[in-house]
Amino acid sequence: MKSEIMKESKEHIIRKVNETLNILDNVEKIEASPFFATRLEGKLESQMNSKSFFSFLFTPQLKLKPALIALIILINVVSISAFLMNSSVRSNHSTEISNLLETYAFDQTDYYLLTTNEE
Amino acid sequence: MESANLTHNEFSELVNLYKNKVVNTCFGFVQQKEDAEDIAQEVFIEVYNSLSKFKNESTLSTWIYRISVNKSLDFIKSKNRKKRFAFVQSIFNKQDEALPITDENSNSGDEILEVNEQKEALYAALNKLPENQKIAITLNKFEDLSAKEIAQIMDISLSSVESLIHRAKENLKKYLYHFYEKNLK
Repeated sequence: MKSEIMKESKEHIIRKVNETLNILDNVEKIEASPFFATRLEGKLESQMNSKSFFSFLFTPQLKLKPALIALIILINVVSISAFLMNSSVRSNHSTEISNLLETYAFDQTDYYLLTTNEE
Repeated sequence: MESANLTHNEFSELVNLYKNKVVNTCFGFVQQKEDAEDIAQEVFIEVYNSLSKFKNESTLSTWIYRISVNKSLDFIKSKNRKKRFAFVQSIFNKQDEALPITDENSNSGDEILEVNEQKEALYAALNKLPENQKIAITLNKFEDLSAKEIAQIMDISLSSVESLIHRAKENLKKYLYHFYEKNLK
């Protein structure tokens, strides 16, 4: 009796499995909504607008335009000049210190001895 | 709107020609019409942006189907990541999430399943298939593509496609059997 019930139950399950799989053989095709193309056009237009915002910087091959290159070169030249000027000021300062040391017949050894003696 | 090689009218014509195929293909993977349409939009944007790179190594329809499959699979992976994150969040927030009907969570017991519930069971089983089997059977059943056409899209041999479809059906039977065994007591 029990085995018969189990057999029936198994057959019932197999029936259900086959019914479910049959859905796959009769799938209803769906279609795009009526506004599909309109939505797509809107998305493509906004994509183009965001690209054109940056297009003043770049040529289509993503190369920087000559004006921007010139600007970058100018910034670099100004920065390098400022750095060099600072370097020249510093080297003038160290030249002055050397002159002072010479004037008072100080050398580095004297300076070192002075400072260590103070300790 | 113009792509690299098409005028506005030509691209519109291409969209009209393929939109139902693309939406239907995507639906086969995600089983939600709204999601299928969103993915289809992304497919056509990709087509628009990449048309200049299309080198006629395959037919245009093969190429578009291929993009549809890839975008659909990307969507599913992204959705699964979000689900996992939401699940982790729910543990910390101690909120009860309403989980979709799956064989792990169904307590339908003696209830007779309606056709919609059978569909849910089928879709759950489809989503458990290995990726290649899912692609092959989805293109075959949802888009009525032949094994030859599927082989071109997946870039595999005809015999591989036939094997994938056969294994997919066997796996679906197995998953559904376990599901009904658990839920039809």
